[in-house]
Amino acid sequence: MWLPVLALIVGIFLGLFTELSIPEEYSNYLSIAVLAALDTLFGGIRAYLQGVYDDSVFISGFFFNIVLAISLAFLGVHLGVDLYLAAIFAFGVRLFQNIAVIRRLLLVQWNEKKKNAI
Amino acid sequence: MNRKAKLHFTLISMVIGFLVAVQFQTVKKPAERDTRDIWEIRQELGVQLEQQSILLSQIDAQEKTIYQYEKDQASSKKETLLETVEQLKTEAGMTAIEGTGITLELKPIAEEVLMGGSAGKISADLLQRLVNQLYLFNAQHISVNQYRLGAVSVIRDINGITAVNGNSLPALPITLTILSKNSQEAEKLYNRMLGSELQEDFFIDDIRLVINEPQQHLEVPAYDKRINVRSMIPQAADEEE
Repeated sequence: MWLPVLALIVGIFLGLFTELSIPEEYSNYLSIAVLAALDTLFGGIRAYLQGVYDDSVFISGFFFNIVLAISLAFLGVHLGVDLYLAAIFAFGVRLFQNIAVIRRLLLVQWNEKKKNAI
Repeated sequence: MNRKAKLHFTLISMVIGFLVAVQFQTVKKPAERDTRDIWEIRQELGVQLEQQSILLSQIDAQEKTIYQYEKDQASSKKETLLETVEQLKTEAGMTAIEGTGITLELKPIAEEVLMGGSAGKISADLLQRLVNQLYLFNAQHISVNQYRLGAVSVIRDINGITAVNGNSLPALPITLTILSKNSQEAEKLYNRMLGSELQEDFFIDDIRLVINEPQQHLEVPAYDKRINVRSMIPQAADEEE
């Protein structure tokens, strides 16, 4: 489990040291992309803990969610409606749900371990 | 977790980290807030424009020199060099210069002389203050009692006697000749001098500062001492190429 965490840190350092920054207008899209990616990641962790993890679902979900969120935001900009809020809302709610499920699963696992030890 | 899933989680974590870092850098870009108001910005702009015009005129002068060098390399190289030397000498104050400017006279206060006081002397501090003020008012060339002030001139107290370039100044009256860039500048200088507090400052030392009106033809003599340049060494001829 430490490998993904290490990769996250490596990614952050990579981003900071390349000093890459995108134009201000596009920072909205990037924030949504980050949210979509986080949602996929936590969804993947939850699926893994529940034993229903599937590689193709995980990878396709990652790209599809990002593309969908960004196109929704793009459409919103052109329609004059803040559609990106919809994406933020959906991903935000799902993120919380996923994290809650992960927490419960981990708690259950931990409790079982403790019982077994006794 | 099998190998493949681990790899995917790792890759996606890395992508997320990268995205977060990029987003972070995009958002925090204006780290320092600009809190200057419009007048401060204008002032800054004015300073920069002045700087720009100075630089442009310098570039112009340098380009002219380059052009001179290139025009006829063989014959006029020496001429151009001499010209440059002449120009540098003028800048350093080693040539006599004629132009428009004003004269200042430092005289003892008449009442003091009537009361039997001796004709006073000017202190080095006061003279320095005057000269600094003059340069601040855009004076170009200054001579004190025919002693030219150059880049390395000193005004100091030597055993109680005020000296300029190592020459001691006589008792009052003393005449200062100040040249300006043009007659407009001379007029400005005159008005600024009239408006400054210098006259009061001199009065405290029992000296009357007389500011004469701008004149068209004034002359300041050349700086007559050697200028010792310690930190520059002439380059050997063969090192040039």
